Amino acid sequence: MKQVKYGKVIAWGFVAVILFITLFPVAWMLKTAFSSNADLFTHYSSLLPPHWTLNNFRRVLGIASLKENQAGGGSGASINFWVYLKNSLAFTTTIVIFQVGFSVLAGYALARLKFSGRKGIFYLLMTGLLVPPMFSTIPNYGTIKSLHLLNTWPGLVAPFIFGTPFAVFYMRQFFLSFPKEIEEASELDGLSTMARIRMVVLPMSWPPIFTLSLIVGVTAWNEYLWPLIVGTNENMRVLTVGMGVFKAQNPSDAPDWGGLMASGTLTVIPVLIILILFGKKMVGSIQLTGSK
Amino acid sequence: MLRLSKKKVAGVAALLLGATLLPAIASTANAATPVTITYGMWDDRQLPAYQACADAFQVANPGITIKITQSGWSDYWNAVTTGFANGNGFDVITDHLAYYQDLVNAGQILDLTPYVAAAKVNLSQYQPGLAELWTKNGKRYGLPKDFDTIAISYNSAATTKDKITPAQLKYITWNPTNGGSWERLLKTATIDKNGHNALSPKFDKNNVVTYGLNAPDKTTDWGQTDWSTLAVSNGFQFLNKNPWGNHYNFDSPALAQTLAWYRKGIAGGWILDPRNTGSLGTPALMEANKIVFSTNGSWEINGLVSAKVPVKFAALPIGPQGRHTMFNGLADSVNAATKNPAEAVKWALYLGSSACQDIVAAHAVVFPAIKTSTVKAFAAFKAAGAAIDGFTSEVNPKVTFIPPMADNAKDVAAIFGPYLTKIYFGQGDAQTLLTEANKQINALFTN
Amino acid sequence: MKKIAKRRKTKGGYIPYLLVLPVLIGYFTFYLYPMVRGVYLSFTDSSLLKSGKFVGIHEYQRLFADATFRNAIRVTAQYVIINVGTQTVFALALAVAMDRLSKSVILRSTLLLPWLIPGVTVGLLWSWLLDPILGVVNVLLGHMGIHPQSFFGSETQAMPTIALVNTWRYVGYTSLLLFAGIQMIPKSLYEAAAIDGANEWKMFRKLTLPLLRPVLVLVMVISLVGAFQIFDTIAIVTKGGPIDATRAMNYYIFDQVFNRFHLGYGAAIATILLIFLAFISLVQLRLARADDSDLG
Repeated sequence: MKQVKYGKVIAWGFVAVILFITLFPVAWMLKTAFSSNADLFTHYSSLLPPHWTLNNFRRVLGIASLKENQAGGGSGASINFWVYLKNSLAFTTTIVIFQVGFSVLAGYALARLKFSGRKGIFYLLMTGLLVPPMFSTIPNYGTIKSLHLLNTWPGLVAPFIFGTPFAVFYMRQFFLSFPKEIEEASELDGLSTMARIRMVVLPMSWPPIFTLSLIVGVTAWNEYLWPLIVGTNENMRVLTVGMGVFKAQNPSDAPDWGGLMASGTLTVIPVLIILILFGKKMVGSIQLTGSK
Repeated sequence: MLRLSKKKVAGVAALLLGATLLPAIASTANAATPVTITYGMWDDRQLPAYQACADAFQVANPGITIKITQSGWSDYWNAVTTGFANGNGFDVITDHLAYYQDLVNAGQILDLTPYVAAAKVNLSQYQPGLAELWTKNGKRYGLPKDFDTIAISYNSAATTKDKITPAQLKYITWNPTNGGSWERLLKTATIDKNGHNALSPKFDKNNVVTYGLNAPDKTTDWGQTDWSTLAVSNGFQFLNKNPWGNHYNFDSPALAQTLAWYRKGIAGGWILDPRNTGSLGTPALMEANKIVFSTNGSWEINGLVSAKVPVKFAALPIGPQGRHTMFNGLADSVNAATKNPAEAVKWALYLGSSACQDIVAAHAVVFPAIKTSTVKAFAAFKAAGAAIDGFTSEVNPKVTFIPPMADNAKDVAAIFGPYLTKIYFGQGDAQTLLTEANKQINALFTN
Repeated sequence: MKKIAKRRKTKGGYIPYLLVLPVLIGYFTFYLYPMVRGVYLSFTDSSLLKSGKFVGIHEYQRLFADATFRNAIRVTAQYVIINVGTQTVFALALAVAMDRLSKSVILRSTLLLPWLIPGVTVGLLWSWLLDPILGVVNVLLGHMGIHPQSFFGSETQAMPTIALVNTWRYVGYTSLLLFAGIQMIPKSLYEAAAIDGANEWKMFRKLTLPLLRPVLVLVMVISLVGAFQIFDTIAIVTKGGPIDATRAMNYYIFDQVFNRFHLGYGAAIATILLIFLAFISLVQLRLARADDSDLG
């Protein structure tokens, strides 16, 4: 018993250290978000804001006047926060639904269905993992442009909605871990492939599917380069691109720290909410009691 | 298999067809709308000024709408290059000397010579030297819109505390041997944790609290705000011919001596080590009392005067061959692939005219290139409370020199950068490293 | 044997092909075409702004004489070893801890926070925390009597710092992947092992690790491939410096293509990187027998 307790203490100690390292920078981000830019360098080591202020958040949300904007150290550029938020939500939701949907189907087929070319197709798709994303940007931009889909919703989501090598890989590996007995049982019951997928496999695969949805969702939410060059119109701009206004605009300038950290905070909040709401579902317990 | 996939394929094709037709339908409905010219820029502080120019231009030219897009420096150039590479870039761009020859060599920029001649633009209205920068092989690629000079900025509260008098700051001298009065001032302003300055024998260079001089930029092949002023006043010349030379002189002893002096200061603890600067900028370091002096460009004036410490400006040190400052200027270039060349050129010419530059002058954000507009800008800065004699006194052809203009600019910068860092980090003798860098750089011109 | 195999093929019919079709469409359009075009470009002297002419292996010859390229390989390897090493170990430990210690959703969500923050914010946040002069980390080190460190500004510390910042960023996410995998292992097996008298460490070694293999392989391959492609932290914080300490492969490609406009040369580097990644991925997948699952 003592051995178990000792081990538990070490384990909890480990988790506590990880938590501290994880949270300290986040706390710093919040502290900066609530500090005025003027105080940041005169009180550069204080752990709490010298003077609490909501000015940064007001500037990010676009509800500060021009004077407040420039007094707070920001530029005069206008920020349509709610438009960007709406665009990010639409962008992310579309991508999650389609990318996860197609990847689940493909992943299942590659893991569980026997058809010729299965191995070949899998390895072919995996080569897609190797393409540096930044390198495929220009050809993809050219493709979208020649389809006249620049600054349109289809053009914005096109490279992401058809499933990605990562998502397919992910689902395939999980389906490989899926117990065969249950499927074989349903096969004996005479279920067709599609029915089997719908009624047996999917309901039991919610944890990895939810997890994948979260991963795809967060990745899409934080996507920057593609929306920057394809969604250039103000009404198509997503949050990450809109918040780019807080980076240093000139090479010799410092970033607008307050605005940057405030916008970082606001960008995280929607995802965090979803995480907390659906967290339980994602890693729910599957008590697989199927036995031989 | 075939039946279902045909349906899917048909569905996708219909979707794409619809998406393709939509813009066509939309554009025929808008056949009578004005021409829109897109214009890109990166400096957010100048956006209100240029929006004001656009408003005035649109009033005078009812058929043309100007749409300005401003994004940060790196995003801006990403957008410009992606746009040009795909044939749909901005109609008019704010151009920069470091980028413009690549754009010219790729045929992306319109030659403005015929338009400038037809509009009878008076090229002598600009500050001397600026207009020539934007020509190559007799073709003109932009009209000057602004310029900048370099000056010393300092925390006047700190200098007062260090008993540095205004007289000492008026005529600062420098030479590579003993650093002149400039080195003396920097050492006076450097304080260690025991309160000794760097002139004192008890100075502890490992525990410096406040540094005399801000760290130099560790990867710049122009040295615009730091080494170029001293090196040129020491006799250094960038190229065999400027603009459009084809042989660099980075191995010049005049430059080696200058960089060795910087290294002396870094090792001696009175110049901030470039290892220790991040992205915080000069105002931040002054506010935290980490540096007293710095050398900055006139585009940084507004950031500096709004710092929480009283920042003042002084003219650059006078070296063995006088006082010199790099004199850079931006211009607006027209996209060679623009669908509306007549209107785009009109906007570009307007930006290069006093009508626009007087508006920009009144906003006190930058020094416009037209001489009469420059005077107005100086007055506007003064009225806004910024004492900028340090910058303005240098606007004189004997003082100013242009940046190095040659082909392969980006490659030269990429090769030179690491060598400069090595010199500042003390990883080798300045002359040896410069000779090595220069060899690689000049090899680019013989291929 | 052949007869039975044939029967199974027609039985499955067209459905599997239908299921993989959308993914294949996406792959061919947005992955394969850029890849092929990239490889083609590597045999030209194209600039980003202007297409060039076919020059055979000229760009590759330049590549093998390029000291900065060799440096890129070295610093990338340095990054990969530090990042993947620390990230995998910590993620595995965390995943097991989350499974055995506490199922708290709050705990899991907290650990995911770094991953949720946009890349630009992460880079700039850390560049400030670790600022050699004004960063709070150095202030804290100072209180402990340690001399301020240059971190991103030092040519020796820069790459390890970038590696560890990215470990910070992704360890929660990686442990989530592993945790989901652990959840798929039937609890009954653990109960049986406990009855047999096995302790935690033994259960981990003999039960968790083997049964986690497909997921672990997934995580390792993704982490490894992702690490070789490290880019955004470098682009935001160090831009390849100081000197060339953080000029990793992917950043060097970006540098050549977007800063120096040498599209053909950048494509050559990217092609080499591609071949190399393909090789190690294949080796990894083969070695780990990723196709099998110990469960079914």
